[in-house]
Amino acid sequence: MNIFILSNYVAWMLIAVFTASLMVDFLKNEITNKKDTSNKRRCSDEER
Amino acid sequence: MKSDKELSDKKLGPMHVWALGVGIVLVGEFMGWNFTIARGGSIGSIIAIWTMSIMYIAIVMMTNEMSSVMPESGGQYAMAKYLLGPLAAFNVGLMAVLEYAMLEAADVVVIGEILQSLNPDLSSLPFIILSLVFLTWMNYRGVYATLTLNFIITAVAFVSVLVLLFSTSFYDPQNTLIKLEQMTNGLPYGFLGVLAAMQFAIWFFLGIEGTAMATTECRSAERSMPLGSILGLLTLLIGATITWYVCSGLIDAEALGASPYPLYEAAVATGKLYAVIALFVGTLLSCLASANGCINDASRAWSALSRDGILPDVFSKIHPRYNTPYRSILFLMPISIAFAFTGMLDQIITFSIFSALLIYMFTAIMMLRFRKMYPLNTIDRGYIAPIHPIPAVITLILASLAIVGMSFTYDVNILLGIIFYSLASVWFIIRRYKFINKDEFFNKGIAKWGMPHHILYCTPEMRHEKNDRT
Repeated sequence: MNIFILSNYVAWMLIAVFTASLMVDFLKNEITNKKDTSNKRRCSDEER
Repeated sequence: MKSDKELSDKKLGPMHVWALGVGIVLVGEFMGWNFTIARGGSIGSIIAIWTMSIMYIAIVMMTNEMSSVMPESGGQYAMAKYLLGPLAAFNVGLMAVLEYAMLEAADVVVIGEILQSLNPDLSSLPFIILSLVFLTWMNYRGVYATLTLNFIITAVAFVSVLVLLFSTSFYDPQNTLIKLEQMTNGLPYGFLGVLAAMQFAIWFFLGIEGTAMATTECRSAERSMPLGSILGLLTLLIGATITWYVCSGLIDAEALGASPYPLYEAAVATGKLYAVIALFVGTLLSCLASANGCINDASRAWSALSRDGILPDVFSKIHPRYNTPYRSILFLMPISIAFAFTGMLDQIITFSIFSALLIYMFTAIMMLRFRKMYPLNTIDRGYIAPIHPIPAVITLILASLAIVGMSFTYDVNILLGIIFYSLASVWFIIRRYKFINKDEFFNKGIAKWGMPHHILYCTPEMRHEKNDRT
């Protein structure tokens, strides 16, 4: 296998790494966001 | 979770503003501009380049004045919001997003093509996607690191142009490789050729106005914005002239007018390996810097549209740790990949340029209105554009001329562009207009700067009439 074909595979692997990093952080944020929203709603219900 | 009002990391300085402006544009020196020579000849090309540079000087001056008073994310969109109302603001915002998202797609396609030209075994597709994903990842993780990276790669790309210039020994009449008299072809199509060349002359400067998108993230917007963008424009003017001079002196006008990578071919013409390597690296880095700046600007514009209710508010969320409009950044990535997959590079670029020209016309109209609403000495300005209204009038005339020149070849594209923005406006009026508090748009401006001058100094009857209209 020559270096150019190998570079293609390395590029695909890097795409997978960066995409996974983005997705993990994004989902973590969204879950935290949802939890915060539901906590706030519960607090305001209890206050009432 | 933070709201968009907190999109203000306040870390950027003039260096970052310079990197954002020049980074987006510098790619135009490496490709695209040389079609001015095919349309207008060598002299027609330099006339068109310098003429369009006048328009950009005017645009930078106007944008600096307005953004020093309205330091909000969204750049020209934020200005349109206060000065022209929701419908115009929606159009300006959409034009900005499409201008940058399409330019970004074109940049990464070129990166893929350049790499593939090294060896047929190297596939362009993974590198196109990798460039977009990596730059999106950088933008997602914070503006400071992103624009610092942009500064470095833009500076290296610019230095590569200087390396090429000095490799020609232009300073030594005995050994110089520059042969302007033999290579150039004058003005073969007269001034009509200059008109046709204008749309490609824009390549040297297209996107410099995007510096306004970083206003809220500057440490001192009043200082950083004018300094960064004026230095950026000077860099581009010098770069454009050097590029024209070196390429026109090394490559025959006919070949130069059709070249896909003129600066790289000029480096090959010198026969010096170090110049060829420098220009190969410079071309790649300029594409990366441009795509990087485009992601930054498009996401800021999209997020600003969402923050004000013009688009659904899901895109306005700011990352709690990185302080970036992360949803907008991620949302625009597949859109740019889709544009890149169309493979219609010239169509994508034409639409991007057309959108930019419309933004310039709106900017001129906004400036005229801004000075009417708030004349000098009525509000504090961080920067005052000189010789008003001449910059606005010059911009309107030259942007119109560039669209006329564009219509010689891309008349259908222009027509489709007009239809697209008209349909988008209809969609906005039917689906989104009801969600917008139009009073708030106007009142936000009044709360910041007081009642506009032309309303303050009119009779009560006139004011009533104006209030009824708003």
